[in-house]
Amino acid sequence: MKTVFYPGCTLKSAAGYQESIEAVLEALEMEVPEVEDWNCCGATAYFSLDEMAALVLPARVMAIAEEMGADQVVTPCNACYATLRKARAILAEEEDLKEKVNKALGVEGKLYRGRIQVRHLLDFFMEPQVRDTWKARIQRPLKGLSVAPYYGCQYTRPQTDGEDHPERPVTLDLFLEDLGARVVDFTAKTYCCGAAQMVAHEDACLPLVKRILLDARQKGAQAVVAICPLCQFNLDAPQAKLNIGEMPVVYFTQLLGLAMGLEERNLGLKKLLVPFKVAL
Amino acid sequence: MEARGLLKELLEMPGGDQILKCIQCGTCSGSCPMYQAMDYGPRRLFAMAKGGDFDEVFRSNTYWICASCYFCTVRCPRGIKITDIMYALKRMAVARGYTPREKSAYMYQAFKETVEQYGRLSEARMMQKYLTKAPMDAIKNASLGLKLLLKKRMEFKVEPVKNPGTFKAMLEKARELAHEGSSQEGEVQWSPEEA
Repeated sequence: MKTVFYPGCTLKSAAGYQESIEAVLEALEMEVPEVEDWNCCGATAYFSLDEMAALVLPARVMAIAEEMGADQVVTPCNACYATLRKARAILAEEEDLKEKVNKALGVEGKLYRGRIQVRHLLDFFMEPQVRDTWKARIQRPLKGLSVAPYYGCQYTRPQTDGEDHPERPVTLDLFLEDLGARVVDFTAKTYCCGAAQMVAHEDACLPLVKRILLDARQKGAQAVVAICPLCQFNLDAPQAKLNIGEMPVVYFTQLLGLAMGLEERNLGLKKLLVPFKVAL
Repeated sequence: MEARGLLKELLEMPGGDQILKCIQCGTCSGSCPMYQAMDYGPRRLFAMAKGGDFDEVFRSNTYWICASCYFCTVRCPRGIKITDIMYALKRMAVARGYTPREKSAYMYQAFKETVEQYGRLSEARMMQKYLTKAPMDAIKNASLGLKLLLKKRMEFKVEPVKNPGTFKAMLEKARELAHEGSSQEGEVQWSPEEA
């Protein structure tokens, strides 16, 4: 099974997501090559304005991954994940659209066959073999840390092939339990943070963020755990405007790094806006 | 009749015919996180669309406010792909010259322009473009911008795809193909009005 990595555009400026992914993979001596010359997936913007381009963008990423001989492409971003899977599902059903998409890809000499699988980084880490690899490397279990697993919307909705429940998923819960953390019963685990609408409609989105953070606090969580750059940003960045105290929002790979005993400075924890300082 | 034409167009998109199955239960509107900011919830919007009142449908902000969380889609007891219908409404509205009053439309446009230019998104570049259309938002987020800058998380340098020229040509080809064999008018050049 050959896996390639599609970082997506937001990973670079995310608060330590990239750093922690790289640190963990390096410590595990796992090489996951990046999709060469990757492009933006188009996210919600392209489906809103230009449907054909909205299909061509993710198809280009998947075509390159196929060219690299990969069986699956793994992404750390919920929006990239949902967009790639959505395009994959549409192109599997609509032969006519697939033909047009390939005509456009032909401009760059590329061809999308539709053989590749699309997975979220979380699911990759939970593949039995990969899971065994990192579980064997846990040196400092996160005993005494209570966490709220935040999945966001687009990880489970709606193109997931029934791998996890659209409203009450458990994959991240299981991951965090493996790290030794206490996982709180988090009602808001798939509530929407407002996503890109935070840019234009902050007034409508702040109450959504508040509801998620308050639920985490009321359940006794010391931190919210995110699996997507936009989710993390939306929960972390506006806290100064909410007046409900501070709730750290960390990436699941940062916690994995800590549990593996990796050095804090290599996990990008200083890039978080609300500081995460828990004596483990 | 214009309304009939639009309804037909809506029904012809993949999954669009499902709109006729709507039983007006309101699960969509009740599940929608953005409902408060919408002129009408999805339930009412569908009632208006089925009734042929497309002018009011397109004048509403509802489909621009959708955050694409797909909550309505996974919960709809009739299996209607509501989120996808919201996307279709956005595209149809722009094509029909309903110039969006919505700031999210400027944001999507800024996103698209950035990707067209570099093949990849830079949030900083996108925000630069967006804020020229919605300058008030710059003041609101100035302190956050400063914090991100100090954390070295503001990336103005874009690492583009290897060949932005052929990339752009590929997108142009896609646009050309989208209108091939369709009776619709060509792409409407759209420049949003000031916020």
